[in-house]
Amino acid sequence: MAISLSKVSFAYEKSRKTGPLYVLKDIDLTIDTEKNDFITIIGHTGSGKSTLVQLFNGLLTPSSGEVNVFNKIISSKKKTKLKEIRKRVGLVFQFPEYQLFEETVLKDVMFGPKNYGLDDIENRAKRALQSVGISEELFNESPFSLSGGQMRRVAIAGILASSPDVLIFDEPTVGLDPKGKKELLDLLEKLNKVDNKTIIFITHDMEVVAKAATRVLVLDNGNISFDGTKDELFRNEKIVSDNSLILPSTIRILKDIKEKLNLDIDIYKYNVNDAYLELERALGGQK
Amino acid sequence: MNGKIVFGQYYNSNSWIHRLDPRVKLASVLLFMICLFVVENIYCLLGFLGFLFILIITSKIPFVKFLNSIKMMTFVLILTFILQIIFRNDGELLYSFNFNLTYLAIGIMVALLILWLLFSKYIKYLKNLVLIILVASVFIYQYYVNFGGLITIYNIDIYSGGLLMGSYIVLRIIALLLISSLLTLSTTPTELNNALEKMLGFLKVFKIKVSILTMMMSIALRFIPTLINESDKILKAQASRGCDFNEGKFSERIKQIISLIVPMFVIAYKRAYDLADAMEARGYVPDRKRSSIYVLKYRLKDYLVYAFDLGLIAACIFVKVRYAF
Ligand SMILES: Nc1ncnc2c1ncn2[C@@H]1O[C@H](COP(=O)(O)OP(=O)(O)OP(=O)(O)O)[C@@H](O)[C@H]1O
Ligand SMILES: [Mg+2]
Repeated sequence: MAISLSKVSFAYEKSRKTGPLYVLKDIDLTIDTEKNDFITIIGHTGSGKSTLVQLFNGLLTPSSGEVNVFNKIISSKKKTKLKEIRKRVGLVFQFPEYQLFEETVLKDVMFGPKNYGLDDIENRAKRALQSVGISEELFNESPFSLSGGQMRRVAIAGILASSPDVLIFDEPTVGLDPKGKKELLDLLEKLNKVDNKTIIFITHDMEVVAKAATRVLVLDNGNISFDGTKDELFRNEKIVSDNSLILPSTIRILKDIKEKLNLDIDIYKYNVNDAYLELERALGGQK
Repeated sequence: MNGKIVFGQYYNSNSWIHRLDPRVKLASVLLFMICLFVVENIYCLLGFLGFLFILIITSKIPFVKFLNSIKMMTFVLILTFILQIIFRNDGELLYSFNFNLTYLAIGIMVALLILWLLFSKYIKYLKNLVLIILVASVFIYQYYVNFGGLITIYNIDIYSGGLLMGSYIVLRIIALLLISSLLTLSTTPTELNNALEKMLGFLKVFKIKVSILTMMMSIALRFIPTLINESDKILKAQASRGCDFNEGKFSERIKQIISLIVPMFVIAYKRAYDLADAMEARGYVPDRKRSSIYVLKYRLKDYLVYAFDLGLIAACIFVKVRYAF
C-alpha cells in the first residue's frame, strides 16, 4: 500500500513558444503508507510543494510520468476513477475554512462522507468533530458564526470524517495563534500515532519538523533535493545552508552553549528534555 | 497569488495603434462599425477589409490572435452563409443540385448522428473540420447515389444573389470581429475604462455618476483573475471532499454547485469589505472630484485619426447616397 511517483513532471503552462514550464521535474518518490510516517515537506516558496501534494490525490494530473495511489494509476494517458483515490487521500488546503457552505456545522462535516457513499455518516461526522475539539453545542450552529480557529477545525473535521488513510495538510497553521497551532499539531500527532494515519505536512516552520517529523522531503525548484529523517537533514550542513533553513530552537541553543562553553555535546536534540539530558551528561562528566 | 492570469486579451507590442489615445480608438471603432453597416456595396466592404489588414499589420500583433476570435464564430459564419445560399432566390440561377432522399440515406444520417454524439468527445483536434466533412459527405452521397427506397427528390438552387449576400454578410461579420479584436488586443481594460469615463462624462448632466460606474467597472475587472484563482481553490477543496460535478442525481448536483457558490460569495464579500476599508483608509470619498493617475492627452496623431474618421464617414454617406439613386 503506497503512493508512488515515477518520473513525474508537471507543468501548469504549456506555452507553444517556450515549451512547458515545468514546476516539478522528473520526480521519483515512494510513500509507504504502512509505515505511518509523519512526513513534512519543506522548501522555498514557489518550489512546488502545493503542486506536488495535489498530484497525490488526483487534483492535478502529471504532464508526464505516472502517479500510483493505492494501485490506481493517474497519468495523462488514462482516465481513472479519482473519487476512490480522494476518499483514501484527504487533502486540507491552506485556509480550509473557506470551503464551508452548509447551514450547520454537522451537515457540513457530513458532506464528504455523503459524497463518498459511506454509511453511518452522522456518527462519523460527530466523531470527527469531537476529535478536533468542537463541542456538541456547536454542532447545530451555522459554520459562519464560528471563530476563525473553530471554522478551521470544522473544515479539517470535514476531511477526517471520511476517514482517509493518508492526510495531507498544506500549511494548515498559517494564521492561527500559538495556542491554536499547538493544538492542531497535537491533533495531527495523535492522528498519526493513535489512529495510524500517514500524515503529510507542508510547512515553513522548522519547530514542527523538529517536533513531529519522521521523514522530511525538501523541494528545491521542482526537484526533491533531500529525502530522509530530520536528524539527517539538520546534520547535513549543505542542505541546511542551501535552502536557508533555520535550525530548530533547541539545536540553536545547544550550538551556542557548545561554542561558548566549549563543551563536547551532541547538539542535535529535538526537544527540551533530550537537550537537558545531554547538557546534564556533558556537564556532569566535567564536574 | 501568482498573478499569472491576465484578464482580457491585451497583447503588448507598442505599435502606433497601441500608443493612440484610447478615446480615439474607442470612437474610431464605433464609427468604423457604423460605416460597415452604412455601406451596402461589396467593393467598399472589400476596401474596408483591406484597410483593416493594413491596420492589423501595422499593429504588430500576430495574426493568430485575430484568428482566435474568428475561430470561435466559424460555426455561425458557415451557417449564415449556407442559409443565405439556400433561401435567397434572386439574381441568376447558377447551379441546381438534385438530391435523392432515400430510406438508406436517412438511415445513414441517423447512424452518423449517433456515432457523432457518442464519439465526438474523443476527437481532440479539428473537431469542426471533421463535422463539416461528415455533413458534406452526407450530401455528396445523396447527390450521387440513388439506392435503397427513394422517398423524394429535392433540389437546392444556388443563385448569384444568395452567393453575393452570403459572402457579404460573412465578410461584414469578419470585419466586425477583426476591428473589435484590434481594439481589445491593443488596449488594456484599464485604458478602455478610462476612455469610457472621459467619454461618458457628459452623462453628468443627467445626474449619472460616471466616475462611480467606471470605478465599479475597474474594480470588477481587477477582481476577475483573483476570483478565478479563488474558485479554482474552492473547486479543488470540495473535490477533495468527494464533490464531483459530473455525476450524481439532479438534487445532488445542485448541492455540489451550492458547495461552490456559497464559499465564492463568502470570499467575494470578504474581499469587498477589505477593499472598501482599504479605499477608505486612503481617503476615497465616492462623490469627490479626483485627479487620475492616467492623464489622457490628445496629441497630433490623435487629431489626425479623428480627421480621418470624419473623412471616412463622409465618404460612406456619399457612396450610400450616390448609389441609392
Ligand atoms: N494555478 C496555477 N497556474 C499557474 N501556475 C501556478 C499555479 N499554481 C502554482 N503555479 C506556479 O507553480 C510554481 C509552484 O507553485 P506551488 O504553489 O506549488 O509552490 P509552493 O512550494 O507551494 O509555494 P508556497 O510555499 O508559496 O506555498 C510557482 O512558480 C507558481 O507560480
Ligand atoms: Mg503552497
